[in-house]
Amino acid sequence: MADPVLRVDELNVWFEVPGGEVHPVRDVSFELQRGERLGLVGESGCGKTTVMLALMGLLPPNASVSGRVLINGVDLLERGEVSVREHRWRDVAMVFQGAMNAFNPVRRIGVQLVEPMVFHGVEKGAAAKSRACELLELVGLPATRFESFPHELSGGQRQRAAIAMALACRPKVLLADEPTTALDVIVQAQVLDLLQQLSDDLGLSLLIVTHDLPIVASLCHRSVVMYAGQVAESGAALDLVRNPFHPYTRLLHAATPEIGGSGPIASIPGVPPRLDHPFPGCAFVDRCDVADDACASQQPQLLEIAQGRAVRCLHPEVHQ
Amino acid sequence: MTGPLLDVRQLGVEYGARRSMIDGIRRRELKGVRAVDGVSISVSGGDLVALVGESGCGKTTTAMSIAGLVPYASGSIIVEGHDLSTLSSAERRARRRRVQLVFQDPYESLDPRFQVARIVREPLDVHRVEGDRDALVREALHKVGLRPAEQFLHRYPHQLSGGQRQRVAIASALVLQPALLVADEPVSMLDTSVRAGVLELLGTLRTEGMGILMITHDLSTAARYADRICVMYLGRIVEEGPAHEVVTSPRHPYTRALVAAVPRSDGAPRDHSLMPEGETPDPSRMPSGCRFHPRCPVLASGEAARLGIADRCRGVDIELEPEVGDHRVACHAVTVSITAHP
Repeated sequence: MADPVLRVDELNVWFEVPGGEVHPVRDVSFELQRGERLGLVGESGCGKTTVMLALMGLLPPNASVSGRVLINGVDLLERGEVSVREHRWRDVAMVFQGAMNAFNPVRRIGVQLVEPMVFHGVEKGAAAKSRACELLELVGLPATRFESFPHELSGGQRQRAAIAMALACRPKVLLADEPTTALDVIVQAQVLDLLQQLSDDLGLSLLIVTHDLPIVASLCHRSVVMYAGQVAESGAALDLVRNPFHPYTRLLHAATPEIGGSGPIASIPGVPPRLDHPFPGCAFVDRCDVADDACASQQPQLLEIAQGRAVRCLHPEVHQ
Repeated sequence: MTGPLLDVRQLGVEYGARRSMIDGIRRRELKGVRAVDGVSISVSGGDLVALVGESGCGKTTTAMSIAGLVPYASGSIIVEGHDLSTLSSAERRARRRRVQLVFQDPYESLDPRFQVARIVREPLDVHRVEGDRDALVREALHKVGLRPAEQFLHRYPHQLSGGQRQRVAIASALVLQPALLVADEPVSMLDTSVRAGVLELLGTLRTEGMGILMITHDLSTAARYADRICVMYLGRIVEEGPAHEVVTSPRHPYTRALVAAVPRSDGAPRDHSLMPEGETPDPSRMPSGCRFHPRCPVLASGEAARLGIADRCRGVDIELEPEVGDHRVACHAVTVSITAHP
C-alpha cells in the first residue's frame, strides 16, 4: 500500500484542569490514504473532536500533546505551533461543526474565501478572486455568491461555502467535524454527496467526525470507533457495522434506529467513565453486556485480529 | 370519555403581522408569514402521534400553539371536548394544565440554579395544587425512572447526564398529571446510546393511557415509536398515516425524499431520482399551487406532465384528501393515479 497522506501515531492529549488532569485522547493511532474517507465515530466526550483539534493545532493552552502526526512523513507536532502553522489550511483544512457560525457575519463570503489564500501565500489579487469563484462553483454554488453576506445564504449553502473555504489552499486532507448535524435530512444528503464527489474528483482524503454510524457506513471506506478516548475498534466501514467485534460497536448499532427497520431500539445502560484517572480495566466494562471479572482488572490492548480489523476487547465477538 | 384528547382543526398561526405605529399612521397593510396553515391533528388517549418535518416547516409552532405559548390566528384547538377559544381564561388555564410540553434541549430547559426537587415542584406551586406536593414530586421522579427518587431530589442539573436531565424535564411535565404530553424533539440532543431509554419511557406512558404528540425531524425514530405519522412541509400536513406504512411505502414525493435521504448502515446508495432540488423556500414567499412543486421530482422528471397534471401542480393548491382509509396524501399525482387505478 502507498504511504499514507496522514498518519496519527500514539496520539495522547491531556488537559490541565483545576485539581488535576483529564486525559481525553489515549493512544489513538490511524492512517489515511490518498482519496480515502475515514469516519471517526463516537458519542459526546469520547475524544473525537479533540483528536481533530490536535491535528489542526487548535487545542486550548491548557492542553499537552504527545505522539506523532505525520503529513506525508513530516511530523506536525515536532516543533509545536510553528510546524503546525506551516501545514494548517495548506495540507490539513477543517470544516467546523455548525457552518452557520464559521463565517464573519459582516464580511462578504468571497472576501472570506480569499483571505486564507492570501494569508498562506497560495494566491493573491485577481487570481485569488477567480479561484474563489471556481471554488464556489466546485461546491455547487453560483459564483455570484462571492458578493453575498453569510446571512443571505441558507444553512446548506453556508455549509457548502464553509467547505469551499476549507479547500481554498488545496489541502490534501479535509477534516469535517459533524459536517451535517445542524442540517435537515435532505440538505444533509446533498452535503454528504458533495463530500463524496470532492474526495473522488480531487483525490482528497476525508476525516469525518460524527456520532452517526449510518453516515459513516454510507460515506466512508473505513471507520474508527472511539470510546472514552481510546480506539475501541477499527476496520472497513460496512464490515464494522455488519460484523462488529467490539460489544460497544454492536450496542451502538443496536441503539441506532434504521429507517425501514422495526421493533424498539436498545439503549446502553450507564454512563462513560471519568477521564481524569487511568482505567484499571476495560473502559467499557461497566456498560458491557458480556464483561467478566477479567475485564474489570485487565486492560485490553488494541489488536489486529483480522485483515484490517483491530479491536480493543478481551472477548472480541468474532463469528466465523 | 369519548372522542380524542386533543383535536386540532384547521389550525393557522401567523408570525410577523405586527404593525408599528408608523404602519398604523400610513395605513400600511402588513402580510404576515403563515407558519402553520390549516393543520388538523387528533390524538387520543394511548396514542403516540409523530409530527415530522424539517426546520421551518411549522412543527414546533404547531406544538407551541397547542401548549398555549403561541397565539393562533384561525382554527380550533379542542382539549378533552372543550374548544379552548370559547373558554374563559381561568377555564382555559385549567384545560391547558392537561396538556404539558417537554422541550428539546434538557441542557437549556432546566434552570441550573435549582435542584431537581424545586424544578419538578415548580409547576405544582404555580398551579397551587392541593395535597402533598413533595410526595407528588417523588412519584413523578419514580415514574420517569429516576429511582430511588430521594437520590435525585437534591442534585443540580449539571450533576446529571443528558438522559437524566431529559427525564427530569419529563417529570416536571408529568407532575401535573396531564392527559396529553407534547414532546418537542425529546431525544435529538441526547447521545445515541441513551435515546432508546427516553423513547421507551414515552412508550410506557402511552400504554398507560396518555396521549403523546411527538415533534421530530427523525423519521426512523418516528417509525419505531409512533402509531401515526404526520409529515409537514411549509406549514401544511402533506401526508398522514400509520407510522410504519408512511415510512415503508411513502406516497407523497416529499415524504419519499425524506425517507430516501436518510443514510443507511447497509451502505445502500441513495436513490437520486427521488431527491428534490435545493432547499425549502422561505415561507414568506409561498409557492403557488402545490407548495412542493418547485422542488418536486415528479414534476421535474416530466412524470407530472405525462399524467397531464403539471399545470394543476403549479397552479392549484392541494390539501390532504378527505379520509380514504387511514393513509392520506396531499398530492395531485397521487390523487390522479388513485382515480385512474382505484
